[in-house]
Amino acid sequence: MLIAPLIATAGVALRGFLASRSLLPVVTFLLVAFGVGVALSVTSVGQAGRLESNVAWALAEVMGWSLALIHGGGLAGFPGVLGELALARPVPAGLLLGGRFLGLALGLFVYVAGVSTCLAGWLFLVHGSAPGAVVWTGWLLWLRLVVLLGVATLLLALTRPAVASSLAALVSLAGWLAASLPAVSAPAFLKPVALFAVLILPNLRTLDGPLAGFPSGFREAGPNLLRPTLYALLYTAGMMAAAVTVFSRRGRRPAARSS
Amino acid sequence: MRARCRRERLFWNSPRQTRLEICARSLSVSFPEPGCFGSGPARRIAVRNVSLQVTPGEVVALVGKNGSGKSTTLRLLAGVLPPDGGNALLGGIPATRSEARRHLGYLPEEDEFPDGLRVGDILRYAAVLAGHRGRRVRREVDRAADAAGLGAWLAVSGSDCSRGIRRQVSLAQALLGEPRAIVLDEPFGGLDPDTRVHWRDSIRQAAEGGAAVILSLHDASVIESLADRVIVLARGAVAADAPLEDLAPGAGAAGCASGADGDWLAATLRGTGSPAP
Repeated sequence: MLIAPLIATAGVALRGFLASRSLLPVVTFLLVAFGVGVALSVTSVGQAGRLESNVAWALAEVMGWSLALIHGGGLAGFPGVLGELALARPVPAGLLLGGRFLGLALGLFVYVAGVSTCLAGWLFLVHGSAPGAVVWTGWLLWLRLVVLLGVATLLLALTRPAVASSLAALVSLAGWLAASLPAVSAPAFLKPVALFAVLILPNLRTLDGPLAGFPSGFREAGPNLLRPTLYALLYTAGMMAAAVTVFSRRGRRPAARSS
Repeated sequence: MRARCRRERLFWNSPRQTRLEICARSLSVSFPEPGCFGSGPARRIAVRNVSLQVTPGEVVALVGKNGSGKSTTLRLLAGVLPPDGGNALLGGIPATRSEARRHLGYLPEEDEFPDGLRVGDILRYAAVLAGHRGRRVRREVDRAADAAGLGAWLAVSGSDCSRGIRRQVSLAQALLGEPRAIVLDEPFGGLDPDTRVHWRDSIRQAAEGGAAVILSLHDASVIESLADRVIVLARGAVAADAPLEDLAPGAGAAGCASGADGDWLAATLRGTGSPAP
């Protein structure tokens, strides 16, 4: 019964994402910066394809983070499907939030798929081969962006869009660094704190598997993808469950709507 | 006799089966005052101890000076905003529960549409969220568009429409699916005179079909031609609640006969004092 509103909300959020003005500068910057990377790659000796891949993925990562933070945190497209026109309808507020998340996650998938396809096409046309790792690297990038989107959505349920986007960026950076915490020598009483931080913060390093060594396909890459995929799904589900609970209890509105 | 809608296809083609009452009991809500880092500890009371009732078939006008708490009261009644105290009930069910809003039509103060949607998509999305499925969605959208005269605008992006058209789109989605409880926040803002008359008649027709209607208004002539009862808000509280005839002698039954050119409204508002800062 609630599937139709969920799908409709996801569709509306996806269209809002694709129609967003933030997408054009992102794509433009990606193309320009990739062009610069290609120009620089001629200085490499026999590693032009690898250099171009690395430049493309680094740029896609940065731009993807921007998109996830801007849209997930509500800096763009707010209030969108969380506006009063929708909130006054007979659907639970959490469903609107969930639909919005699904739509934005699909939007990020379109973004990553576009980057992956363009990169694979470039490598194939210019260097004669497109490594299978492009697909799996793109998949892991999307997982990272989805986790980031989940964090930003939870923070949007707690605070204002600008604060939510900024905090989500900080939390994600902290999560990237937190993976190293257990290895750091620290007093015994700090060990539980470090463990707690590792559990709570998004461990993005888990989602950054070294797939370059598995260019030939899923047989090698599959086991390396399973753990990060499961982690991303579980972590994001936890974030969204918390976001829906908070959003519903805050009175079915983001904090920014309170005054 | 009140003016009847002149357009052929209307929102309310048949009398509704279920009658639904809008009720508020001691509603109160406050907002945090801005502080150095976002919200401070102090709170500003926006609505205090508001109790009201709108019966099926009745049109109630909510009036008051700017900042008197009209929009906040309507948001509370629509369940968009939860109260700090008291209850807003739709058909006896708290408005914050989704099942209470099954037969609600709500027009917010601002026309905020999701990005990238055309007018037809906005109405379609509203119909799906309202619980319509399959062919019923298309039927309701077509009916709402015809009744609102928005047929030529269905393929236009909502963000590209003028303020008046955006208001009409919001009104059309609010009245979509024959709601039985209707909460409208300044429905006629940005509308030209003819369109205003059309929507006024549509709202009146909805009430005649059995809907309970509450709406915030600023125009005395519209209040006189539409409302059965007037509730005056001042400083977030109910300052007066009386039939239109009591506040504007000679108005109401005569339709648009303006009681002393609307002076009654200005006098009533002056008598209620200024809003809280």
